[in-house]
Amino acid sequence: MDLSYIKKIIKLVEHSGVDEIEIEEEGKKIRVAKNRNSTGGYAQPMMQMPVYQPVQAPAPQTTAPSVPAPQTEEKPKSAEKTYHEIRSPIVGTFYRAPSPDAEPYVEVGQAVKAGDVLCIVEAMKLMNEIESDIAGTVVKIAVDNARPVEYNQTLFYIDPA
Amino acid sequence: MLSKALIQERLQTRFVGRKLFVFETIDSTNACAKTLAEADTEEGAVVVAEFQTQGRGRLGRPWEAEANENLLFSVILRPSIPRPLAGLLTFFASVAVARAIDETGTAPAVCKWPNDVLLDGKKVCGILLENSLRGETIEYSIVGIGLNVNQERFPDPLRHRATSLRIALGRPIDRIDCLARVLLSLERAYEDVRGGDFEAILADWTSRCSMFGREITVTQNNDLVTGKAVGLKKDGGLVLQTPSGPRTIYAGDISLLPSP
Repeated sequence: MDLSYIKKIIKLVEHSGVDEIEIEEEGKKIRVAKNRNSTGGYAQPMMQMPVYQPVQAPAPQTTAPSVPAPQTEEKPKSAEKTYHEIRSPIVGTFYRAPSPDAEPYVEVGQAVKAGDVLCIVEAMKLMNEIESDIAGTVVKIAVDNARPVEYNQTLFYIDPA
Repeated sequence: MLSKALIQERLQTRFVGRKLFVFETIDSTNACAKTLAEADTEEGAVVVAEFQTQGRGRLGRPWEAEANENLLFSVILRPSIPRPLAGLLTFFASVAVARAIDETGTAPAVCKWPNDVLLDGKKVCGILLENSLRGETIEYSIVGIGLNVNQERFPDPLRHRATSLRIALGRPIDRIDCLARVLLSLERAYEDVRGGDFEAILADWTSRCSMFGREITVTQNNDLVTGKAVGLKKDGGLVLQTPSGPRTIYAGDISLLPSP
Protein backbone atom coordinates (compact mmCIF):
# COMPACT_ATOMS: atom_id res chain seq x y z
CA MET A 1 0.00 0.00 0.00
CA ASP A 2 2.02 2.96 -1.16
CA LEU A 3 1.37 6.66 -0.97
CA SER A 4 0.11 7.06 -4.50
CA TYR A 5 -2.40 4.29 -3.89
CA ILE A 6 -3.69 6.06 -0.82
CA LYS A 7 -3.91 9.33 -2.72
CA LYS A 8 -5.95 7.58 -5.39
CA ILE A 9 -8.34 6.27 -2.80
CA ILE A 10 -8.72 9.72 -1.30
CA LYS A 11 -9.53 11.19 -4.73
CA LEU A 12 -11.97 8.43 -5.35
CA VAL A 13 -13.87 9.06 -2.16
CA GLU A 14 -13.73 12.80 -2.64
CA HIS A 15 -15.49 12.64 -5.99
CA SER A 16 -17.95 9.96 -5.14
CA GLY A 17 -21.16 9.85 -3.20
CA VAL A 18 -19.44 7.64 -0.65
CA ASP A 19 -18.65 9.25 2.66
CA GLU A 20 -16.25 6.74 3.93
CA ILE A 21 -14.31 3.74 2.75
CA GLU A 22 -12.27 1.20 4.61
CA ILE A 23 -9.83 -1.11 2.86
CA GLU A 24 -7.97 -3.95 4.43
CA GLU A 25 -5.12 -5.55 2.60
CA GLU A 26 -2.54 -7.94 3.90
CA GLY A 27 -3.17 -6.92 7.47
CA LYS A 28 -2.91 -3.24 6.66
CA LYS A 29 -5.95 -1.13 7.07
CA ILE A 30 -6.78 2.25 5.66
CA ARG A 31 -9.90 4.25 6.18
CA VAL A 32 -10.70 7.39 4.27
CA ALA A 33 -13.61 9.53 5.41
CA LYS A 34 -14.92 12.85 4.29
CA ASN A 35 -14.62 15.61 6.79
CA ARG A 36 -18.17 16.52 7.53
CA ASN A 37 -17.20 19.86 9.00
CA SER A 38 -15.69 20.97 5.74
CA THR A 39 -17.63 23.42 3.67
CA GLY A 40 -17.79 20.92 0.88
CA GLY A 41 -21.52 21.09 0.92
CA TYR A 42 -22.30 17.52 1.87
CA ALA A 43 -25.72 17.91 3.24
CA GLN A 44 -25.51 14.35 4.43
CA PRO A 45 -25.83 14.77 8.19
CA MET A 46 -28.69 17.18 7.78
CA MET A 47 -30.70 14.74 5.72
CA GLN A 48 -30.96 12.31 8.56
CA MET A 49 -31.91 14.94 11.03
CA PRO A 50 -35.51 14.29 11.86
CA VAL A 51 -34.40 11.77 14.46
CA TYR A 52 -34.19 14.25 17.29
CA GLN A 53 -34.27 11.40 19.74
CA PRO A 54 -37.39 11.92 21.77
CA VAL A 55 -36.15 13.70 24.86
CA GLN A 56 -34.23 11.17 26.82
CA ALA A 57 -35.71 11.58 30.27
CA PRO A 58 -35.04 15.08 31.69
CA ALA A 59 -31.41 15.00 30.59
CA PRO A 60 -29.75 14.20 33.90
CA GLN A 61 -26.26 15.65 33.69
CA THR A 62 -25.67 17.60 30.55
CA THR A 63 -22.37 18.75 31.93
CA ALA A 64 -20.53 15.51 31.37
CA PRO A 65 -19.75 15.72 27.67
CA SER A 66 -18.54 19.30 27.80
CA VAL A 67 -14.91 18.27 27.53
CA PRO A 68 -14.61 16.34 24.32
CA ALA A 69 -12.50 13.27 24.72
CA PRO A 70 -9.28 13.37 22.73
CA GLN A 71 -10.08 11.73 19.44
CA THR A 72 -8.05 8.64 19.00
CA GLU A 73 -9.56 7.41 15.82
CA GLU A 74 -12.15 9.06 13.64
CA LYS A 75 -15.09 6.93 14.50
CA PRO A 76 -17.85 7.25 12.02
CA LYS A 77 -20.93 8.58 13.68
CA SER A 78 -23.92 6.39 13.29
CA ALA A 79 -26.83 7.65 11.30
CA GLU A 80 -29.00 7.54 14.38
CA LYS A 81 -26.95 10.16 16.06
CA THR A 82 -28.30 12.27 18.85
CA TYR A 83 -27.66 15.94 18.99
CA HIS A 84 -26.72 17.73 22.12
CA GLU A 85 -29.61 19.86 23.29
CA ILE A 86 -29.27 23.28 24.81
CA ARG A 87 -32.31 23.89 26.94
CA SER A 88 -33.73 26.98 28.52
CA PRO A 89 -32.78 27.20 32.18
CA ILE A 90 -35.72 29.47 32.90
CA VAL A 91 -39.11 30.61 31.72
CA GLY A 92 -38.76 33.73 29.62
CA THR A 93 -38.45 35.22 26.18
CA PHE A 94 -35.95 33.89 23.68
CA TYR A 95 -33.74 36.35 21.83
CA ARG A 96 -31.19 35.41 19.21
CA ALA A 97 -29.39 38.75 19.34
CA PRO A 98 -28.33 41.15 22.10
CA SER A 99 -30.60 43.88 20.71
CA PRO A 100 -33.23 44.04 17.98
CA ASP A 101 -30.88 45.55 15.39
CA ALA A 102 -27.85 43.42 16.25
CA GLU A 103 -26.63 40.33 14.45
CA PRO A 104 -27.78 37.01 15.91
CA TYR A 105 -25.28 35.31 18.18
CA VAL A 106 -25.32 32.16 16.06
CA GLU A 107 -26.74 30.78 12.85
CA VAL A 108 -27.44 27.24 11.75
CA GLY A 109 -24.25 25.63 10.47
CA GLN A 110 -22.04 27.76 12.67
CA ALA A 111 -19.34 26.11 14.74
CA VAL A 112 -19.39 26.99 18.43
CA LYS A 113 -17.06 26.41 21.35
CA ALA A 114 -18.01 25.67 24.91
CA GLY A 115 -18.63 29.04 26.52
CA ASP A 116 -19.85 30.77 23.37
CA VAL A 117 -23.05 32.72 23.87
CA LEU A 118 -25.93 31.23 21.86
CA CYS A 119 -28.84 33.42 22.83
CA ILE A 120 -30.50 35.45 25.55
CA VAL A 121 -33.49 34.33 27.53
CA GLU A 122 -35.06 37.29 29.21
CA ALA A 123 -37.08 36.90 32.32
CA MET A 124 -38.09 39.72 34.55
CA LYS A 125 -35.73 42.13 32.85
CA LEU A 126 -32.90 39.86 33.61
CA MET A 127 -30.96 39.10 30.49
CA ASN A 128 -29.66 35.59 30.73
CA GLU A 129 -26.95 34.80 28.27
CA ILE A 130 -27.12 31.13 27.49
CA GLU A 131 -23.73 29.66 26.70
CA SER A 132 -22.96 26.45 24.93
CA ASP A 133 -21.64 23.80 27.27
CA ILE A 134 -20.17 21.86 24.38
CA ALA A 135 -18.15 22.42 21.22
CA GLY A 136 -19.86 21.57 17.95
CA THR A 137 -22.01 22.82 15.13
CA VAL A 138 -25.44 24.37 15.46
CA VAL A 139 -27.76 22.13 13.45
CA LYS A 140 -31.09 23.58 14.45
CA ILE A 141 -32.49 26.57 16.27
CA ALA A 142 -35.67 25.28 17.76
CA VAL A 143 -37.38 28.53 18.71
CA ASP A 144 -38.20 31.66 16.73
CA ASN A 145 -36.78 34.95 17.88
CA ALA A 146 -38.73 36.82 20.55
CA ARG A 147 -40.99 33.89 21.39
CA PRO A 148 -41.74 32.78 24.94
CA VAL A 149 -39.95 29.65 26.13
CA GLU A 150 -40.70 27.27 28.94
CA TYR A 151 -38.34 25.92 31.54
CA ASN A 152 -36.23 23.13 30.05
CA GLN A 153 -37.51 23.71 26.52
CA THR A 154 -34.96 22.84 23.88
CA LEU A 155 -33.50 25.92 22.20
CA PHE A 156 -30.66 24.54 20.11
CA TYR A 157 -29.46 21.25 18.73
CA ILE A 158 -25.70 21.02 18.59
CA ASP A 159 -23.80 18.39 16.68
CA PRO A 160 -20.88 17.69 19.02
CA ALA A 161 -17.46 18.22 17.51
CA MET B 1 -16.18 63.94 41.36
CA LEU B 2 -16.19 60.34 42.36
CA SER B 3 -12.81 58.94 43.19
CA LYS B 4 -11.73 55.51 44.18
CA ALA B 5 -10.06 56.71 47.37
CA LEU B 6 -13.06 58.75 48.53
CA ILE B 7 -15.50 55.93 47.83
CA GLN B 8 -13.45 53.31 49.61
CA GLU B 9 -13.00 55.59 52.61
CA ARG B 10 -16.76 55.66 53.01
CA LEU B 11 -17.49 51.98 52.33
CA GLN B 12 -18.80 49.88 55.19
CA THR B 13 -18.98 46.66 53.25
CA ARG B 14 -16.92 43.53 53.66
CA PHE B 15 -16.55 42.60 50.01
CA VAL B 16 -18.85 44.60 47.75
CA GLY B 17 -16.83 47.46 46.29
CA ARG B 18 -13.59 46.43 47.94
CA LYS B 19 -12.35 45.82 44.45
CA LEU B 20 -13.30 48.99 42.67
CA PHE B 21 -12.84 50.41 39.18
CA VAL B 22 -13.74 54.06 38.68
CA PHE B 23 -13.98 55.63 35.22
CA GLU B 24 -14.74 59.14 34.13
CA THR B 25 -16.23 57.94 30.87
CA ILE B 26 -16.89 54.39 29.79
CA ASP B 27 -18.96 52.70 27.11
CA SER B 28 -21.07 50.77 29.60
CA THR B 29 -20.34 49.70 33.15
CA ASN B 30 -22.15 46.42 32.53
CA ALA B 31 -20.03 45.65 29.48
CA CYS B 32 -16.87 46.42 31.45
CA ALA B 33 -18.00 44.32 34.42
CA LYS B 34 -18.75 41.45 32.05
CA THR B 35 -15.26 41.61 30.61
CA LEU B 36 -13.83 41.63 34.12
CA ALA B 37 -16.04 38.73 35.18
CA GLU B 38 -14.92 36.72 32.16
CA ALA B 39 -11.36 37.35 33.33
CA ASP B 40 -12.23 35.80 36.72
CA THR B 41 -12.49 39.04 38.66
CA GLU B 42 -13.83 38.25 42.10
CA GLU B 43 -17.35 38.57 43.36
CA GLY B 44 -18.15 41.97 44.78
CA ALA B 45 -16.02 43.91 42.31
CA VAL B 46 -17.70 47.16 41.28
CA VAL B 47 -17.33 49.30 38.17
CA VAL B 48 -18.38 52.95 38.59
CA ALA B 49 -18.50 55.59 35.88
CA GLU B 50 -19.34 59.27 35.80
CA PHE B 51 -20.66 58.95 32.30
CA GLN B 52 -21.63 56.17 29.93
CA THR B 53 -21.42 56.61 26.20
CA GLN B 54 -23.40 53.44 25.54
CA GLY B 55 -25.48 53.03 28.66
CA ARG B 56 -28.16 50.51 27.97
CA GLY B 57 -31.29 49.03 29.32
CA ARG B 58 -33.43 46.15 28.29
CA LEU B 59 -33.01 44.99 24.67
CA GLY B 60 -30.16 47.38 24.12
CA ARG B 61 -32.29 50.45 24.78
CA PRO B 62 -30.17 53.43 25.75
CA TRP B 63 -29.95 54.62 29.34
CA GLU B 64 -29.15 58.30 29.37
CA ALA B 65 -27.94 60.09 32.45
CA GLU B 66 -26.21 63.40 32.91
CA ALA B 67 -22.53 63.23 33.77
CA ASN B 68 -21.39 63.93 37.34
CA GLU B 69 -24.92 64.01 38.76
CA ASN B 70 -25.95 60.40 39.05
CA LEU B 71 -24.67 56.99 39.99
CA LEU B 72 -23.92 54.45 37.31
CA PHE B 73 -22.34 51.26 38.45
CA SER B 74 -22.24 47.51 38.00
CA VAL B 75 -21.52 44.82 40.53
CA ILE B 76 -20.11 41.38 39.77
CA LEU B 77 -21.76 38.59 41.75
CA ARG B 78 -21.29 34.86 41.57
CA PRO B 79 -24.31 33.43 43.35
CA SER B 80 -24.22 29.66 43.65
CA ILE B 81 -27.96 29.19 43.56
CA PRO B 82 -30.03 26.79 41.47
CA ARG B 83 -30.60 28.07 37.97
CA PRO B 84 -34.37 28.43 38.22
CA LEU B 85 -33.80 30.96 41.01
CA ALA B 86 -31.70 33.15 38.73
CA GLY B 87 -34.76 35.23 37.86
CA LEU B 88 -35.19 36.26 41.47
CA LEU B 89 -31.96 38.23 41.42
CA THR B 90 -33.99 41.02 39.85
CA PHE B 91 -36.03 41.37 43.05
CA PHE B 92 -32.94 41.20 45.21
CA ALA B 93 -31.40 44.15 43.37
CA SER B 94 -34.60 46.22 43.36
CA VAL B 95 -35.24 45.69 47.05
CA ALA B 96 -31.64 46.45 48.01
CA VAL B 97 -31.76 49.73 46.08
CA ALA B 98 -35.20 50.62 47.47
CA ARG B 99 -33.98 50.07 51.04
CA ALA B 100 -30.96 52.31 50.44
CA ILE B 101 -33.17 55.01 48.91
CA ASP B 102 -35.42 54.94 51.97
CA GLU B 103 -32.38 55.68 54.13
CA THR B 104 -31.84 58.98 52.36
CA GLY B 105 -35.11 60.22 53.85
CA THR B 106 -37.50 59.93 50.93
CA ALA B 107 -40.97 58.48 51.11
CA PRO B 108 -40.72 54.68 50.88
CA ALA B 109 -39.46 53.72 47.44
CA VAL B 110 -41.99 51.85 45.35
CA CYS B 111 -41.27 48.82 43.19
CA LYS B 112 -42.79 48.16 39.81
CA TRP B 113 -42.61 44.70 38.29
CA PRO B 114 -40.14 43.50 37.61
CA ASN B 115 -37.32 45.83 38.54
CA ASP B 116 -38.07 49.52 38.40
CA VAL B 117 -37.77 51.61 41.52
CA LEU B 118 -40.06 54.62 41.69
CA LEU B 119 -40.50 57.76 43.76
CA ASP B 120 -43.66 59.82 43.31
CA GLY B 121 -44.70 57.44 40.56
CA LYS B 122 -41.61 58.21 38.49
CA LYS B 123 -38.60 56.09 37.79
CA VAL B 124 -35.62 56.93 39.96
CA CYS B 125 -33.58 53.82 39.31
CA GLY B 126 -33.15 51.41 36.45
CA ILE B 127 -31.57 48.02 36.88
CA LEU B 128 -30.20 45.76 34.20
CA LEU B 129 -29.14 42.32 35.26
CA GLU B 130 -27.12 40.14 33.00
CA ASN B 131 -26.49 36.56 33.91
CA SER B 132 -24.12 34.22 32.23
CA LEU B 133 -25.56 30.73 32.37
CA ARG B 134 -23.72 27.65 31.31
CA GLY B 135 -25.09 24.18 31.87
CA GLU B 136 -26.30 23.95 35.44
CA THR B 137 -24.51 26.94 36.85
CA ILE B 138 -24.68 30.70 36.99
CA GLU B 139 -21.17 31.68 36.07
CA TYR B 140 -21.66 35.25 37.07
CA SER B 141 -24.33 37.83 37.39
CA ILE B 142 -23.83 41.49 36.59
CA VAL B 143 -26.08 43.87 38.48
CA GLY B 144 -26.12 47.15 36.56
CA ILE B 145 -27.66 50.07 38.39
CA GLY B 146 -28.47 53.55 37.15
CA LEU B 147 -29.65 55.70 40.03
CA ASN B 148 -30.77 59.26 39.38
CA VAL B 149 -29.27 61.22 42.26
CA ASN B 150 -28.77 64.92 41.67
CA GLN B 151 -30.08 65.40 38.15
CA GLU B 152 -32.60 68.24 38.29
CA ARG B 153 -34.10 68.20 34.83
CA PHE B 154 -34.86 65.45 32.38
CA PRO B 155 -35.25 65.91 28.65
CA ASP B 156 -38.74 65.91 27.31
CA PRO B 157 -39.71 62.33 26.65
CA LEU B 158 -38.46 61.43 30.14
CA ARG B 159 -39.76 64.46 32.01
CA HIS B 160 -42.97 62.86 33.15
CA ARG B 161 -41.50 59.45 33.78
CA ALA B 162 -38.18 60.09 35.51
CA THR B 163 -37.17 61.66 38.77
CA SER B 164 -34.12 61.88 41.01
CA LEU B 165 -33.41 61.74 44.71
CA ARG B 166 -32.75 65.47 44.61
CA ILE B 167 -36.13 66.19 43.10
CA ALA B 168 -37.84 63.95 45.64
CA LEU B 169 -35.96 65.38 48.62
CA GLY B 170 -35.77 68.97 47.49
CA ARG B 171 -32.05 69.10 48.13
CA PRO B 172 -28.89 67.69 46.61
CA ILE B 173 -27.35 64.69 48.27
CA ASP B 174 -23.84 63.37 48.61
CA ARG B 175 -23.31 60.84 45.85
CA ILE B 176 -20.49 59.01 47.54
CA ASP B 177 -22.54 58.56 50.67
CA CYS B 178 -25.40 57.34 48.51
CA LEU B 179 -23.22 54.85 46.65
CA ALA B 180 -21.81 53.51 49.93
CA ARG B 181 -25.37 52.99 51.21
CA VAL B 182 -26.51 51.15 48.10
CA LEU B 183 -23.47 48.88 48.10
CA LEU B 184 -23.95 48.07 51.78
CA SER B 185 -27.63 47.38 51.19
CA LEU B 186 -26.75 45.07 48.29
CA GLU B 187 -24.24 43.21 50.42
CA ARG B 188 -26.73 42.73 53.25
CA ALA B 189 -29.52 41.51 50.99
CA TYR B 190 -27.03 39.24 49.25
CA GLU B 191 -26.63 37.28 52.47
CA ASP B 192 -30.15 35.94 51.88
CA VAL B 193 -29.43 35.26 48.22
CA ARG B 194 -26.38 33.22 49.09
CA GLY B 195 -28.50 31.02 51.30
CA GLY B 196 -31.01 30.66 48.45
CA ASP B 197 -33.63 32.32 50.64
CA PHE B 198 -35.63 34.90 48.71
CA GLU B 199 -38.62 34.95 51.05
CA ALA B 200 -37.77 38.18 52.87
CA ILE B 201 -36.76 39.84 49.61
CA LEU B 202 -39.99 38.89 47.86
CA ALA B 203 -42.06 39.92 50.88
CA ASP B 204 -40.37 43.32 51.00
CA TRP B 205 -40.79 43.69 47.26
CA THR B 206 -44.50 42.79 47.44
CA SER B 207 -45.09 45.32 50.22
CA ARG B 208 -43.52 48.01 48.03
CA CYS B 209 -45.33 47.08 44.86
CA SER B 210 -47.97 49.52 43.73
CA MET B 211 -49.46 47.35 41.03
CA PHE B 212 -51.59 44.83 42.85
CA GLY B 213 -55.28 45.26 42.35
CA ARG B 214 -54.75 47.48 39.34
CA GLU B 215 -55.39 46.88 35.69
CA ILE B 216 -52.22 46.67 33.73
CA THR B 217 -51.22 46.00 30.16
CA VAL B 218 -48.21 43.96 29.23
CA THR B 219 -46.72 44.33 25.80
CA GLN B 220 -44.53 41.51 24.75
CA ASN B 221 -43.45 42.01 21.19
CA ASN B 222 -46.76 42.05 19.34
CA ASP B 223 -48.61 40.32 22.09
CA LEU B 224 -50.82 42.41 24.32
CA VAL B 225 -52.18 41.13 27.62
CA THR B 226 -54.46 43.15 29.85
CA GLY B 227 -55.54 42.11 33.29
CA LYS B 228 -55.56 42.86 36.96
CA ALA B 229 -52.27 42.29 38.73
CA VAL B 230 -53.13 39.97 41.60
CA GLY B 231 -49.92 38.52 42.91
CA LEU B 232 -46.36 37.43 42.60
CA LYS B 233 -45.40 33.81 42.11
CA LYS B 234 -42.56 32.27 44.07
CA ASP B 235 -40.46 32.28 40.91
CA GLY B 236 -41.06 36.01 40.42
CA GLY B 237 -43.71 35.76 37.71
CA LEU B 238 -46.47 38.34 37.83
CA VAL B 239 -49.94 36.85 38.00
CA LEU B 240 -52.63 38.64 36.03
CA GLN B 241 -56.34 37.97 36.25
CA THR B 242 -57.45 38.18 32.63
CA PRO B 243 -60.89 37.65 31.07
CA SER B 244 -59.64 34.24 29.92
CA GLY B 245 -58.31 33.21 33.33
CA PRO B 246 -55.14 33.72 35.31
CA ARG B 247 -51.94 34.27 33.38
CA THR B 248 -48.37 34.51 34.58
CA ILE B 249 -46.06 37.01 32.95
CA TYR B 250 -42.29 36.69 32.84
CA ALA B 251 -41.25 39.32 30.35
CA GLY B 252 -42.53 42.36 28.58
CA ASP B 253 -43.22 46.05 29.03
CA ILE B 254 -45.72 46.98 31.66
CA SER B 255 -48.01 49.93 31.60
CA LEU B 256 -50.47 50.77 34.29
CA LEU B 257 -53.85 51.74 32.98
CA PRO B 258 -55.12 54.96 34.53
CA SER B 259 -57.16 54.28 37.64
CA PRO B 260 -60.88 54.41 36.92
